[in-house]
Amino acid sequence: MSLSSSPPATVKKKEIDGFAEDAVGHLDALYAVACKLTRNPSEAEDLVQDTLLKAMRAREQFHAGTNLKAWLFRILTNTFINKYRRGGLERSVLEGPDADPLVDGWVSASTMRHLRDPEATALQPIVEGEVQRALDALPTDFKIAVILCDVEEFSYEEIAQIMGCPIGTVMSRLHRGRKLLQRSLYNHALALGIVKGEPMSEAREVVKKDEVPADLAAFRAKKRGAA
Amino acid sequence: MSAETQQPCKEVSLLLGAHLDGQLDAVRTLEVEDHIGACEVCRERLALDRALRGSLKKAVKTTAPEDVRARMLAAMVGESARQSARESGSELETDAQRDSALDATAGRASSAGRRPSMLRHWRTMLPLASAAALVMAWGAAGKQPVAQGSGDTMVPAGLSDDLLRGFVAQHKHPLPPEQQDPKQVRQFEQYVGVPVHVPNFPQKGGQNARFVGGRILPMQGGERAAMLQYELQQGNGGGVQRVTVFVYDASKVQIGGAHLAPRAVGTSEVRTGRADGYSIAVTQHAGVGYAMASDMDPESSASLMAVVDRGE
Repeated sequence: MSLSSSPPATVKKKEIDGFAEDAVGHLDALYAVACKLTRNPSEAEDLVQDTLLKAMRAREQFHAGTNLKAWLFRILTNTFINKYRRGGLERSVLEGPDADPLVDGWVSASTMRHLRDPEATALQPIVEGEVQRALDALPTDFKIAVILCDVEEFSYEEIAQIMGCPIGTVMSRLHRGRKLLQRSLYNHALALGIVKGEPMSEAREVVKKDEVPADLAAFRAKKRGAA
Repeated sequence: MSAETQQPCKEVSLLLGAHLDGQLDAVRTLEVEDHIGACEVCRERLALDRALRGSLKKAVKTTAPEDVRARMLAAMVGESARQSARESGSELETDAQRDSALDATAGRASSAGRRPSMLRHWRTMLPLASAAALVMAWGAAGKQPVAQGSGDTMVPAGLSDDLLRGFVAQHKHPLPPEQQDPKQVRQFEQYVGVPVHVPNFPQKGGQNARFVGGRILPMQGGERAAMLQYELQQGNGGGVQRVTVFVYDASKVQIGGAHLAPRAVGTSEVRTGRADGYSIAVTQHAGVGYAMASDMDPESSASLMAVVDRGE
């Protein structure tokens, strides 16, 4: 990932030291993610301020030359989770053994094409609005993983450090989070009549019978044969 | 369809996200690319993933507003100051003592491999700290001996600063207004001892800032201030910025000492500063003192404050 956030354009530069200045360089990213997590500008501001002040108080623990942005996001994430997590209920429900496995191969290629590229571009804002809504509705862990990866472009390893979990867990949270996003997008498009099909639910996945996926082994064999 | 034909597709689809994230090793990448070349469904899946990512970026990316940025900087400057005060061994700041206690907790928790969970303490302490600052401020302003709680040492210096801090605390967590009608607010004169006008603050778009209401704030020692609350609508659907004006008898209460920088706005002199992330502007007009605490930047505060001196 890049650390090329622009330095703060501010007259206060002289009053703050290099560390604070570097930290403030990530303000936009911290604030954007805080807004998405808290869904409230003033709580987002509180969260960012807590994050920055904690960072300054714990600055000895930050090793210069390592990834400041990831470190700040770790503080932000933990601060948010400590404040808002109501027990471990959410986690156990969604990651427990009873959680329904998400089956892939649920919609046809043409449906997916419609989802990503509605023929009427007028529908694009509706789709984007739904992405907002669907992201808000994601369970916290999935939401954080998806935002850190897709928006802030942290690597899996960095996300694992930020969220304090193994890389495998990061991958699973990402996969499930994205699937949930796609599903609500699909259901929304279905409701609007943009695509046709049957609604998805956690309990029942639709596999279109007319889409026969290609066989990877057969494809390889064919390719080897041609070579 | 048979399980054999579905399996590679399913396996690959599990890797598509990681592929898009550039997190697969070379062998896996080749496998996925092979499959995508042959499978329209997975190709569409990948395209959808990519499109979704674009929408997510749009949904989340935002720029911190200038006032938020200013408050963050102010908070960090304050923290820097507290830290250096601590390092130099100064014990004057009660804030610093509280923070250093938190630091110790944070340090221990983190070195044990756990994240500090000091948020709750921090959040509950803030309002308490503000309340304490307010009581001290009024006490100091009235130049009366104040009974101190056990353990706290009275800081003798910076009386007017404490008063300002009290104003800022009031602005931050305001008491509800007693009067919404500007005409009624003028009656506050009998309690404050100076005429209490309700200034009109013009803002962009020709409208005046909304007057929320006013109330009397007693200060220990018999002095009182009128507290006037306003709301400014920010342009293009932005939020609301709050402005609180305190009106007091300038001959009895002096604030805006060395910590406020004088600046000329037109023919008026307005002294400005910042505290706790808010701007402060102080001016006088015909023996009436006006102090303003606001969410805006000091520049805007100062120009708003100059309205008072023009008698508008």
